[in-house]
Amino acid sequence: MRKTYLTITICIAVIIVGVIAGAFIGGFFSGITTPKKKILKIAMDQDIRGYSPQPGGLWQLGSLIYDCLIELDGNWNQVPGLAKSWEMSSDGKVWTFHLREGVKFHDGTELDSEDVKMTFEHMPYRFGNLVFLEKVECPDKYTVKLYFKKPCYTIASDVAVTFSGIVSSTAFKNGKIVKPIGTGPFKLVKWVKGEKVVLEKNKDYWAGEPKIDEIIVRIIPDPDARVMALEAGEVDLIYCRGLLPAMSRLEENPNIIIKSRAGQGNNVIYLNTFIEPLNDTKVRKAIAYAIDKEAISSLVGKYAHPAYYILSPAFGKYVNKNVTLPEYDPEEAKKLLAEAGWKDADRDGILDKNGKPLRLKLTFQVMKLEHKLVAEAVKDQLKKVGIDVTLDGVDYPALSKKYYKRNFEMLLKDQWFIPHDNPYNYYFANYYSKGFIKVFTSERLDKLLSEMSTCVNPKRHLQLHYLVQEEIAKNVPEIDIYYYDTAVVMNKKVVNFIVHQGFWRTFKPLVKADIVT
Amino acid sequence: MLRYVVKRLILTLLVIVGIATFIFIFLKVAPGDVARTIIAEKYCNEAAAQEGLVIKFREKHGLELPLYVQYYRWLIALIKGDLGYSLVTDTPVIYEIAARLPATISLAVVSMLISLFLALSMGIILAVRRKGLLYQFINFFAIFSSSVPAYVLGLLLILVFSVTFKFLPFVGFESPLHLVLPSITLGVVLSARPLKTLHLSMVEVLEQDYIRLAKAKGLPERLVILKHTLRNSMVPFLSIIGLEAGHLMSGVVVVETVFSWPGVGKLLMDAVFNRDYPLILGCVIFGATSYCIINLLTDILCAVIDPRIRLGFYQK
Repeated sequence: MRKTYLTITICIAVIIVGVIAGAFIGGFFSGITTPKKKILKIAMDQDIRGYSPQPGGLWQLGSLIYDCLIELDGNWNQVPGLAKSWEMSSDGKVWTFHLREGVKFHDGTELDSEDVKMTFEHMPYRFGNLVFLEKVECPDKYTVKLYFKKPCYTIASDVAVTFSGIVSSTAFKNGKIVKPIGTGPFKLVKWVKGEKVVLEKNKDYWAGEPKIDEIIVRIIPDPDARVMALEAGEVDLIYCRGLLPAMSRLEENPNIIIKSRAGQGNNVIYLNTFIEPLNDTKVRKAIAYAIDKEAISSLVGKYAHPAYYILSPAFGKYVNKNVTLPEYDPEEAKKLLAEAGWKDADRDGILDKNGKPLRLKLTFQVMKLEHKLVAEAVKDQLKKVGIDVTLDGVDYPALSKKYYKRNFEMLLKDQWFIPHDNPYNYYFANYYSKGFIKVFTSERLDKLLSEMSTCVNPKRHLQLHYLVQEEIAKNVPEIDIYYYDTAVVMNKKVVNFIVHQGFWRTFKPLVKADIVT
Repeated sequence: MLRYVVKRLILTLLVIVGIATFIFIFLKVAPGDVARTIIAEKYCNEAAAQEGLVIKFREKHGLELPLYVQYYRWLIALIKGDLGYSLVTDTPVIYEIAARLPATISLAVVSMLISLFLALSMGIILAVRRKGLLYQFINFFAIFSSSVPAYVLGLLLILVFSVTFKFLPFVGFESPLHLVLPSITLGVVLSARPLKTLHLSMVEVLEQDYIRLAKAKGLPERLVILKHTLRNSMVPFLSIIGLEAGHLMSGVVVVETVFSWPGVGKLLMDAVFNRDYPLILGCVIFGATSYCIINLLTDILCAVIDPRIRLGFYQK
């Protein structure tokens, strides 16, 4: 019997050693045959779902496959894309784009105004003021005229959103995009569902041939696995959203570079101003004073910065720097609550008024680690001024339903509605009585926003931004907690990658990037 | 025997429809607006605020109709074998599941083999050798495998074999070598219960009179253990193995997430987050069917191995 056990143990040992040795040798040999092509491996957190430039299609790869009429450079300045120039009519209802000549799609056909017409007519989701598009005309092969139902000043920004990427008319079948044919720096050559997407460089790219020959996009949903894949060399570049806690470990790794810059992302808590006790401005202001943004930002990490304006500084000229949000001052918070009539009559640590305790529910997305940290910190901080917060962690569909139906008391989420340089859509979504969600509305805001929706004067448009932000800040319907940087983490062999400010163009800098071995 | 199998097949069908109905009701009752969630997935968050898109979507998929009408339509389609289209990708549910089958099946088979090997070898040794260094070592492994979560073991293996010593890959299913780490993770974790079951059942059998008789007859120890004891201990062991095989086929989400394995489990989880009803129901039906079929096969196998079951010894 002993001999049998011995044999079995030896067999197991041999198998294990064999597998390890085989893997090692295999790795060694594959390293010898160095590929002549420059292949970059990147990771995305979710799979693509189709070929359209909208997020439900190519997600973040849209900016590599398609280009827009107007592009945004790394600093969010509008630069000519597929259109070399453009004009708005004096009444703001007609926008004319002059297309670049000689631009080829991935299938060799040339870009002309018919492609642009087809793209805009079949766009399932139209961003911002593109909703008011009435018709598209093509006076000649390289000119496109967009006609709108009302004066629209923001169209230059709206067509610069990656969702409005130009698709070749040959890619459409029954109004749906069935092939990924764009003008972008890379072509999509293979898609293995749930696993990876393979991109090849577009040698005829109008802005210059990319240096990288091939990009393999691996789908790695788990954030820890994504970080380890980078450390193990399975991928060379990842985007850091959702990874902020792991960044400190990556910083210590000598083979890894982290590049970051101020991004558009902003975490906010919306307060439902239509219910008691949040309909009292003093109470809302008190909550704002009671939250310690510095402490929360340092919890999240060095890529989070405490928020003192309603919008991230990444929005440049659109941010009204004269309007600053309340700084941490718990004494002031307590004073305001007392003025609003909230006293701790029963001495239980929680303020009350007319027998009702000051209890609020904070809804947040339970799957987001950062939001969970923030929610718990906020609960602690509000307790110190006598507000009892109950945490309501829900999943994404439930959160968005609560948001859209305004079925919440306090709601923690990222800012939505601003995928590009002009944040106008943010106000219309949240603070307009004819808008959709209506977190807070007022006569003055309505007046300002009505004017903004038809104003075509650039100076006045900017002025209105400032006035709207001032009015919003005065009424404290939202509490901005921190802005987070756009950070891209890469192996040191990736060079010349300059981080782009926006989320949807995270991978666009790969056009100019290179790999050195 | 044939009557038994046919009866079981009909029962299986009823069970599958029952489970699917149950899930259908729960999905419709769960909070979260399907239309808006799916539109946010298909286009972007902002799009879900556009009423026009939302209304069009609801009309297209009959979400405004009363619940019983929706259920009736879905049941009729199911009987015809039509599992519908994914609300997010607009591809047939069957294609989505089929695309993930190679990965799911290969992982299931290899993990099962590893689990079987570990459970059988260690279960027998534990039952036979009641003390000594080997027993302690294997007992430690048994406790370890039953307490370590798959997520932790998976990350640990990645850390050691992929990050520190760059021996093995761990992202996706690009080569047979990619199977190694995830199947070891699953194999180890899933070997815990069969191991214990086999151990206990063998210990019980070893106490029996007929084993004592076999030893008294002078049969060699190997024959006593491998032929007589093992065969009589198989039934509970096989039942547990059957349950695990079913579990492997319906999706091991945690391991799939850690190793970015393109399997059915991850598909189901994403579908739930998106409230993608047709896809959820399709995956559930696939999982339930796998479970039922594997259970049926296991029961038949048990009947074959143990004549007492076959001959109705356990029925009045």
